[in-house]
Amino acid sequence: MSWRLLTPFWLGLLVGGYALTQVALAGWHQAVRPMDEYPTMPPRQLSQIVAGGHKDTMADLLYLNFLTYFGRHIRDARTHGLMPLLQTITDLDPDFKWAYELGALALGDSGRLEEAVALLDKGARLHPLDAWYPYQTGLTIFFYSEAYLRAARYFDAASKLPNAPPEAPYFAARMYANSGQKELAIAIWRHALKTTNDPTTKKLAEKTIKRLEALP
Amino acid sequence: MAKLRTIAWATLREFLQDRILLVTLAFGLLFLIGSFYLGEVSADQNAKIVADFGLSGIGSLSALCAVFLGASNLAKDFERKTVFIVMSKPIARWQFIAGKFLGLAATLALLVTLMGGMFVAISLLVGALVPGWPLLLLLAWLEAVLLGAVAIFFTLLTAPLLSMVYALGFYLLGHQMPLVKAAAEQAENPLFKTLGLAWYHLFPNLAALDLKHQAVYGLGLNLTQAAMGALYVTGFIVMLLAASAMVFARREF
Repeated sequence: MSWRLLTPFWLGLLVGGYALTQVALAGWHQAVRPMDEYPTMPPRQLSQIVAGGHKDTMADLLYLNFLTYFGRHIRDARTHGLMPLLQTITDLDPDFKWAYELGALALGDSGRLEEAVALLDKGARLHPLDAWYPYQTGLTIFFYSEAYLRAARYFDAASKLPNAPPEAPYFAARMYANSGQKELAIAIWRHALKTTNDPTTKKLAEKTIKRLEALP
Repeated sequence: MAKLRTIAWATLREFLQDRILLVTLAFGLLFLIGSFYLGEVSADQNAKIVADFGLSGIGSLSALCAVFLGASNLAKDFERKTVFIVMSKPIARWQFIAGKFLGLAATLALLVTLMGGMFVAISLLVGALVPGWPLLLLLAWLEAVLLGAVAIFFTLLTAPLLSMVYALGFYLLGHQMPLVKAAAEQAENPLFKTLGLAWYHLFPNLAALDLKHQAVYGLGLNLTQAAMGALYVTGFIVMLLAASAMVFARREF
């Protein structure tokens, strides 16, 4: 048999073998799926070394893994693998804001609020001048718990940073008021009254201060 | 100069006939199309995924291609004994090495330009072209050229397969230089500290040529870093070529 005929034969065998292996692996994977996926991630330093000059790309791949993992386990509550995955993603690409945001939402939805806060706190440590992280932490705490005072502290911290969302001080004031910290809420509304030029906000601040002061 | 140009042109033509170039381009295209698909399923992160995968693909594929072509071409010349024919002509040995290198650099420039063109097209399709992409492509090319020079140097010393392994090791280590520096700075043992820092200063820091992250996040490209890195790498290439020419000059046929 000539080489011309043999080459397609070997190529066919290779492709066929590969396809069969994939089918067998898919079946095996289906069988083991009820067990844990991502019970552990490789050590975080190792991921950094392996990624070499392609850390962002590796973070993207893990992020896509995170999306499918969360999508698969959103209903069965086996989400213990989320945090290690998100830690590695944000180690590899510390500026991947969307991973922090979506990660915190996924962790919050899975009843893992402390991990969500830890993830966003990590972002805040790495970007101390970015108001987005404490602001997002405040929102996450507000969405998934009734710890108003804790949320208020994050909104308050965010409002003191240069690029703070304009609503951050109001959220802080509202959360302080909800948690019974009347004096703190009044102080923030007074600050807003002093700094804003918007007549509607001024009116709202005056009205709220009066209402809060009237409270026992 | 004319002799250099002739060898470089012959090398370029030889590489263009090589299937590896086509295979690399096909892989590049697959990589870029793959990045487009992955971007579509990434929950609104298309631009980032396409940019990261595209630039990483161009960098790593051109580096691999440089290593393979750099190591295999010279080895083929020795194996087929074509080097004897060239050496029988009035061509200095350093001219032969420099011509081979220039041919390789031109081939890599062509490869990076073609893959860069595909990357730009797909980025435009997604609607987010990374700022400073020509600089990023230029740096990817420079890195590949450095690896080609490393592969040529090692091919003159050892077998082509080993030379590829060494050049790939060089690539992997070059990207770990910030880690080497951090480890050396944290070391308590003074000997380890000195050796680590010496290694860091002597070995080319390929991470300095990597501005992908800054470009993708629009953090502003550190042009000083890029210029210093490029200058350093160019110096290293010249040094490698000089060393290669010296080794080749002592070689007996």
